[in-house]
Amino acid sequence: MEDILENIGPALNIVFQFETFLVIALGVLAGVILGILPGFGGSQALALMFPFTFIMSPSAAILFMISIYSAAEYGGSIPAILIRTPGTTAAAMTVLDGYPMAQKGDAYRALMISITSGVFGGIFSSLIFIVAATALAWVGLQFGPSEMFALGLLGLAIIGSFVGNNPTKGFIAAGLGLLLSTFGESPFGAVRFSFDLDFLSDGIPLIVMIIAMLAAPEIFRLMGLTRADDEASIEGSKGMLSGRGKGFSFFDFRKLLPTMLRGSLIGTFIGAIPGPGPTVGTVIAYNEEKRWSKRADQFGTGIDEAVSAPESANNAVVAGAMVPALALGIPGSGAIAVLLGVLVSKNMVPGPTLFTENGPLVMAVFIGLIICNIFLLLCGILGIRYFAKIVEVPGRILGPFVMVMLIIGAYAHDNNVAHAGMVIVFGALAFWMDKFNFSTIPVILGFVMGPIIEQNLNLAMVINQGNVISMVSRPLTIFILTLSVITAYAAYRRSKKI
Amino acid sequence: MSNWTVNLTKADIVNAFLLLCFSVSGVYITTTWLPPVMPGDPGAAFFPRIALSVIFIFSFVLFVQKIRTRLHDRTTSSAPHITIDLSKFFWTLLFSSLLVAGISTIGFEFSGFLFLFILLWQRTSRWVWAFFMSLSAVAIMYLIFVLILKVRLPLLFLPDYIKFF
Repeated sequence: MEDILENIGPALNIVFQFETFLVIALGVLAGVILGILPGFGGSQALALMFPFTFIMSPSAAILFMISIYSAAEYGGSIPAILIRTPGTTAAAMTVLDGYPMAQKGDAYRALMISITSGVFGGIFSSLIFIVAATALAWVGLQFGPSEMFALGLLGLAIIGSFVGNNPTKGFIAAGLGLLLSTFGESPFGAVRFSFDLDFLSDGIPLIVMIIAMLAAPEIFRLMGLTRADDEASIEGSKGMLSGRGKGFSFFDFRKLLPTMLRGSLIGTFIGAIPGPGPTVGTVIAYNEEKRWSKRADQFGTGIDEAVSAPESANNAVVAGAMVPALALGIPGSGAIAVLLGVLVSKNMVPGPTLFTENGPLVMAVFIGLIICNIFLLLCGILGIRYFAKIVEVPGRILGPFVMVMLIIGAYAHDNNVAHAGMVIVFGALAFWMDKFNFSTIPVILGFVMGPIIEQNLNLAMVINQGNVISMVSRPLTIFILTLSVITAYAAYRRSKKI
Repeated sequence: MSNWTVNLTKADIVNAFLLLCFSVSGVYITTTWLPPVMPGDPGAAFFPRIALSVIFIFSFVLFVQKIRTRLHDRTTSSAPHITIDLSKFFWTLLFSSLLVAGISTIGFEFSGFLFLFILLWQRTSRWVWAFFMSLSAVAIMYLIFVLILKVRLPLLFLPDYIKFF
């Protein structure tokens, strides 16, 4: 507590300067725009903006980058809600209810829930870290490979929530996701399922899989729309845009507070653990919300809580991820690795000494995140009416443009035309899966959780010399595994009721 | 040709059978990989085999379930059907594949323009509008992705960077 009081004054001095406010505002704007573009997640956006930090002071540089990261995570939700195309991988869960809301004519409301929940999550986790950064860094360190393996299983345990009325097909889809995640290099370097094709030896990028599984079936639908279909859907969305539809009031905000709190807590916790990142945070937040909700059966049809929970978790992860990065020098994700690169380029060494030698700067990072979220709120609220205009564009016209954007987005991920081809192949697969009632969400869950489970399982097995009992007998591992079993059972029971 | 109506139970049986074959051949492929060398390491084939086992087990369950349903349907004739517009699916697949192939052979600016122009013209019957919309969309994407974001899209004649100073 003494450290906090000692550092808060100098930290406020760092933040409350014109230069800092300017870079935060610019970072937010750049982040939102880059987040909207498919293929440009937080790490790509940060890598792209890295050179601009060379002319900035250390505090301005790190705050600029954090603003971009935080805003890009929010920006990814805008196309997820409006055109079923998540701009970032973490926005995949927002598609599930955000897009149905937009289809019902509630795009404005969905976007408002997304921005307010995201901002709430960001501010909430920043406040927690201002008070308890060091303690949370210690908790994060308790997660070894066995615990991470168990955490991966916990993420996978929720598949039962997404299988609809046919669990068998849902589990087949999950198996397919797990299998596809093993394409490319194994944790110890062997190349698998490459079929002598160079582009397959690097595996399938997550963004390609998410674009293909979530967005491509919708593009196939848009491409098949006729003028009559379009006229009917535009008529439905006009009321909402002119303010006659469902808005978003303070009362709605108050009603969603418990959801935001749960999502933010999960996001904060997941963020503090090196490795899982925002995508896992949003998956777990969505499932936990479904478990708590009285209308769990309506998840996936476009309800407020289902948009709010993953969105608050998503932005809470950003502040959370800064803790192991700053306190221990552990980059939990590609985006955080770029952020650490900024620190190193400014001659600062991330790790425990950063807290003692540059305490005010660390504090300024979290205060800056709060300011960044306030800018994000302003940017979101002012921009929402313009973003939402996209639903007025007839689907048959929008389809070809979105298809080009998806293909370029997949290409831009690694400047690889094979990734654009993969979007089409897996998009066609997703289209058929959709037609034959195989949900594509378990494929994504399997694909996200697969590498976390496999890498940590292999590591834990090597550490424990192949002794499974000693691997799963650590107290934290037992706790998470028990939670996974309960979650899987509850999710399965729920799917049987639907 | 355009609309294809299929009995969902029959389709599930065929799908389950194909998935069973797929998982068996997947396991066969993993047998050709090198065994683990590090003590305790379960090996590169371990996790893919778990995934393939999941697919195999649940495909088998689906196969049995649907065979039983099919036998029941024969007596009640209440099998659900789905209809798929095959021509729309194949046209979309063809056009998007041509776009990907076009980007790597004739460049993004030309293939992107052609893709948008043909589809927009076909959908609006207004060729002048389609022409200018496609041209401006390609110009904006070129500006954002190539000039600002430095994505190395294959280009036919446009420069991949412009020096302003």
